[in-house]
Amino acid sequence: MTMDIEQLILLTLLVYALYVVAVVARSVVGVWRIGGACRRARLLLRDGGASDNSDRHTAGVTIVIVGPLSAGALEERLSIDYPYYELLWVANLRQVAGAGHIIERYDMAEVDFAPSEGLPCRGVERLYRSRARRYRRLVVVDCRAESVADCYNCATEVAGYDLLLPLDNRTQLSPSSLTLLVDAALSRRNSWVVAFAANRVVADVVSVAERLVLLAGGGGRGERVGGRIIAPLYLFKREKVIAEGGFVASDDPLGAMARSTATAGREVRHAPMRHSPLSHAPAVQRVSGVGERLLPLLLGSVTSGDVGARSLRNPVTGRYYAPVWVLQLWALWLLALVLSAPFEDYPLGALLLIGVVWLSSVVRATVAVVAALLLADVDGGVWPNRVGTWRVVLSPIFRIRDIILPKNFVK
Amino acid sequence: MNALSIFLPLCLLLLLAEGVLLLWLALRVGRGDDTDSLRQTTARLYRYATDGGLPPPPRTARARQQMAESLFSLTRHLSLLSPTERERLGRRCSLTYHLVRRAERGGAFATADALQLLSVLPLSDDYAERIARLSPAEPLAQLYRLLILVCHSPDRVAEILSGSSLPAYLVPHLVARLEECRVEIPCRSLFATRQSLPLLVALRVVARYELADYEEEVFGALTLPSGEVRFAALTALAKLGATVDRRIVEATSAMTLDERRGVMRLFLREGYSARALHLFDEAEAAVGSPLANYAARRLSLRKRNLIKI
Repeated sequence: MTMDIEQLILLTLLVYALYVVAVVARSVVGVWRIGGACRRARLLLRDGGASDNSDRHTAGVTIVIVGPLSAGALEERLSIDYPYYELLWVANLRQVAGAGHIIERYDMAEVDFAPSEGLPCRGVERLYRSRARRYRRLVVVDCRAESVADCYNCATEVAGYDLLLPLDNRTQLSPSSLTLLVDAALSRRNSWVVAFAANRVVADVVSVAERLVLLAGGGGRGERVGGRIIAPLYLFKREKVIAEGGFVASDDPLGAMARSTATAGREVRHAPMRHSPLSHAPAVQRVSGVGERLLPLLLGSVTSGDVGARSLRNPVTGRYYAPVWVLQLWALWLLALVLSAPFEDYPLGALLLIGVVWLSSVVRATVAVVAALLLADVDGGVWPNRVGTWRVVLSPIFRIRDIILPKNFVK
Repeated sequence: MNALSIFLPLCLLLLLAEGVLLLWLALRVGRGDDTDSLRQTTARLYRYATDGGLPPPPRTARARQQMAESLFSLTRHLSLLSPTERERLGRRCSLTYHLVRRAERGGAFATADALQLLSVLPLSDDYAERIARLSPAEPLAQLYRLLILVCHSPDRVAEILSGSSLPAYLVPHLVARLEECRVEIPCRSLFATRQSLPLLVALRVVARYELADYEEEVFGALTLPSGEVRFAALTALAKLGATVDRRIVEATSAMTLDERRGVMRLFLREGYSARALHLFDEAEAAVGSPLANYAARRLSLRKRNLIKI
């Protein structure tokens, strides 16, 4: 059975249409999730948020900051309005200007560093805790490790609380973001959660927008939604990090840890004490379900009309799919073929497929605008760039003109 | 049949539909904040609290929502309006009627939103019955439903909690809100129910106020099958500063390694010494667990290094 060129073109177009429909479906799910997260955040923050009755916050968080910080930046990070957190600053103090001043300012005293969890951590020179009661939440680790993963592992060893929030030294949290992250971690019962926060970059400092942590899965570092940089914030349960053997040196140790905990199979890593001499209770075998672990990955990703975001990353493997500009070139080629080839035998099929592709692109652009509007809405301010909105709204007109009617188009 | 002759009008139609949709979205969502109208509503309610003049009933659903949000904010954060004033306002401006209706008919978040706003409005028996008939799946909606019912009839706390469900992580929220509403929580009757949610609430109250009188009841909760209740009981015992004995170690023996490590860290955070936790060490050493001598190793992370290099 031979297949002529028209059937081949239609088949290729069908594959492309199915791919685009899948992408659009994920985008719609992502925006739907963003809407739900915004409404949930609104509910939580309206009822007190971070600065209300501190008794309702029972889960402590260890914020890990890796990299040099100035004294002012450290002071800002110590003033987050959340009752139960400690700040673990891991840095090579030789490279920090004014490190001695910081040690003196916070009345830090050197304490023993005795690893108790067996994680691979190299390069720890000194560990400091403050003698002043008001700075008790500050812990400084003088670490000369070359990889960030080692720094994270040292921090996991030292951490006093059960939730870990690793950050780089450019990110500054808002008070409510901690509340929302902890709520997500406790309500989902996963070993980690990822939050997409819309950030503002001011003078090389990424500050997480107030009242805005969007919980959604997937996506990659540095993506943009509505023109805003989206930085994933990972909140790990310390026990799970220890169970996984700590962070592994790679380009993205946090993402790798999240993926390894998410894709781990159904196995019992540490059996309970079965033969305890004191035990009379039956031993309970806990099995962590794959479905529960994969939950954060099924939330969908958000795509946008921004050029920088036009590449999709598989959240499970961390690898990129084909960049979207390649797919768009492919689509242009297909459209040119379809429009130039005679389709007397398959007019309806060709029209349907073209309609699906076009409808998908329209829905995708709409989803991008909806995401941008949602972000602007929950950011608490007036929509900052109405001209940008109209540009996005009207962009399909220019797009169709460029695609369908190029200057050298001759039928 | 020329494909282009059908394709172009189809594209134009889709484009028109998208333009209309996006225009609607831009006008609806991106029309900016409504801080001014919210401020005016709050000012009217403030005048009502200070001068006693009832504000006019809102005409639109949006204005009603704003009034309910302002009332919630004023009540929660400023405690400005008395329950009688709130009840009068809710009746006069139809807030209660519309919020209860939205809680019954809305989706998950709309129900939670309506119940949250209703939690500051005193309800009549009819409305409370309608709220009691709800069974929302959203945890926050469950929290506010329970709060409304308990505040409506505080003498039936044990009965209400026994017939309800709430995730364990929201129990501190519930206890904090009940404390703000000055609801008396009968711990002994909650312990007597032997059910999960009343026990979690009672254990939270015991840990919060360090009620040492209930230590035996807390030890009794260690024998229950629910892991959440056992962990809450261990938390309460750590807060109470109870001596770590065989009952506590037995309660942890069925736990996984991670959970046992969590329990030991819990006691260490409350200031227990390595000597006070020696029974844990013995039990772990007997099974060759990596947690043997864990307390001493953790505590050395806080030991001052007196030798200057």
